[in-house]
Amino acid sequence: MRSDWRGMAPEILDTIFSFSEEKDAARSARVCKSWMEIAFDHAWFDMDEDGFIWLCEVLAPLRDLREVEISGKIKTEVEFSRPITHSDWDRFFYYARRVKSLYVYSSFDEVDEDTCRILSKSSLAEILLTKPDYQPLLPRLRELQVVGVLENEVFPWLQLSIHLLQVSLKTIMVVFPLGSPHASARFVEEISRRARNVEKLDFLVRGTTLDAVELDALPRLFPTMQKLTRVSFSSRLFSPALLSSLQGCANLETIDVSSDSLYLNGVTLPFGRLPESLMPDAFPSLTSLKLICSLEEWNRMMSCGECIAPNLCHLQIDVVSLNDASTFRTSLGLIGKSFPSLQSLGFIRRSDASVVRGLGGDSSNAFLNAKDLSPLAYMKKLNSFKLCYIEPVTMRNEDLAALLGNLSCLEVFELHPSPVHLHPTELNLNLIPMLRQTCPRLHRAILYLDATDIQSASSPSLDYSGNLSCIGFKTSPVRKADVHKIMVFLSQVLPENCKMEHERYLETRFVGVIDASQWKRMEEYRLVWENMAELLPLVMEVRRVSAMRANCTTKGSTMNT
Amino acid sequence: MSTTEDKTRKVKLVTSDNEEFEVDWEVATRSVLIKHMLEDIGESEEQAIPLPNVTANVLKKVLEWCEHHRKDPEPAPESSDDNRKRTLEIGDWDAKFIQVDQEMLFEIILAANYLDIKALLDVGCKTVANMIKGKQPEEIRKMFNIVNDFTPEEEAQIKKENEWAEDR
Repeated sequence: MRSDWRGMAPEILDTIFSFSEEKDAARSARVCKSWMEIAFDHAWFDMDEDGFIWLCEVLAPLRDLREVEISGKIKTEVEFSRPITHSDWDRFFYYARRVKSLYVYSSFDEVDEDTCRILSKSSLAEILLTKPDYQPLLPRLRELQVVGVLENEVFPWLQLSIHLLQVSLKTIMVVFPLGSPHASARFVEEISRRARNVEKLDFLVRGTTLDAVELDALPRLFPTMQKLTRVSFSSRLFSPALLSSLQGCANLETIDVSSDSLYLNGVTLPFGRLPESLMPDAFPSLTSLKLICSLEEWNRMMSCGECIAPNLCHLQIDVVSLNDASTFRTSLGLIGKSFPSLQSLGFIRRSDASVVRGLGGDSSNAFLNAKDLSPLAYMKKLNSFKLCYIEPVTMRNEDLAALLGNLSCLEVFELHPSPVHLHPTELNLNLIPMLRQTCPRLHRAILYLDATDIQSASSPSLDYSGNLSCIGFKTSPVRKADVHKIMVFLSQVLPENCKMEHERYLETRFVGVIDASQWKRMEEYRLVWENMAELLPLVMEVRRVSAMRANCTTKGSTMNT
Repeated sequence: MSTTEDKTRKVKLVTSDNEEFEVDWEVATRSVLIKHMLEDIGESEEQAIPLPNVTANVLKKVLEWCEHHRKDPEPAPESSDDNRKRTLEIGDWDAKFIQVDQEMLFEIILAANYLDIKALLDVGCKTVANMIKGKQPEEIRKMFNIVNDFTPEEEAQIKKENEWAEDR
């Protein structure tokens, strides 16, 4: 029997081509007729605007018109060399109906590639005029990404992008600004009018400031988007009105206000305000919330009474400011009370330089201690807790280990200053064996502790049990001369496959913001930990081999007796 | 059906060429098809399960894979939304396992599809995707013994229209 590859079942061919690159799928389409359809589905699955122009070429041959300069790049303007006929559209849709994702980033200067053709305005007009009415240009488009300025003097990408907003879309990503503030606002408005079935929306910002027109357009969008399950924004787009406007989206599962540190250059960030009030049960389906706000605002909003999101499992607050420890304790208490199903909780500091710059004043009220963290004990389902926070936490090993011992589900624990800071801490390396005992399920621990006092580290019993598979010490104070001692200590307390995570570099945007001598010390500490992270696997191997030998010797001696 | 019983339970499988295999429940139920059949007949019977679409030499190979992967966790149900996977990585053991002649590869893929063993089907399909990678249509036809059923005009047209897709 010869195997019949040509007659392979369509679902199997589909799986095969799903693993192929687009160009391999495209060539496979020419193998035989029974492969062609499925191979084309994968070859034309996604495209950028260059691909879109190739798709136009299926309509009618394109010819060069002239060279034009757009945003400093030379492009060739092309036009159709003959009128488009009815049968051209059949050919066009043969491919167009396979396109599921389109990425329009014509002006994104960080994309440096050979998208050198641009369609003439009159050709676009011809497309829109001759297109059959019964279907959209890309009938099954599911994902649309538009990045950066779409308005230019040569080709109206904005107009075309608006034209591509349609009911089949499930995912839209927009990177503002798209051009003038009105252009951005118009695009947002058209989303709500034409793409009502969207489930995931991402709004990001690059470049500098945003206009009020753009910011005001967003809150108007959401009440119409009833299928929405996930939204994310740059923190710069976030406003109290925006969060309020999301209350109408009954299916919303995720709100993610991401910190946009990537493009921060002297841009003012939000002050961390939240809405005056929210409806009871404002977000019935919400399971994951990532916010930027001040803890004072958070406490005010949460004290209004009703629970805003009864099903919340994941909460991360990017804290804008904290004035005293009692505010933090109140927040933690309110969170424990309001979100009984909470599985992960994080407090982080947004990573822009202004946070670090503000230091140096009297912040002693903001020091957190074990008591401030005590509400944690009531969050029985918590499996991840991160406190990556610039204000110091002052507590002893015993207090912390006891506190975490109440969290029987805890698997991930991070406690370190963030973005970067050196401050004194009472925690030291003895914490590790303690954590292993009180938190047996812990598999990831990132800690900031004082490792300079290795002399006082108690010599632990040789117990390698526990789930810890990743440990890290960020820029914990440590002395180069102690590397050997610390390695010996760690080899006595860490389970066999535990790896050490280390910082690869200190973020350069804090150069000059942080005191130079402190910066130098941090870099020294970082290097020491980096060195130890590399040594750890060797040390563990030595331990394994010597344990094996010891084992053989014991066996041998038993046999002798 | 409690899991402790399942672990000790044996399952009989009969191939199209009437060979009988007896394997552990845990191994046999890597196949979703067999798992469902077992659920249907219940635990009372020592009944053999007929597999009319699989021959003994192929089943032997498939069971070798199931045996090695008996402890694997259940794969997460994938979202139907994204049917582009791209990654071609195959684990070391699987890569060695799938070094078979083309006829056997074909049979393993068919059997994995029929028996509904998603992870094995993926290994087979990745292997084929790897074989196709970088090849011209004529080379692919030769490799898989496929007759070209396009007219030269048809082939020229789709080649022209797909220039972008083939070159990207």
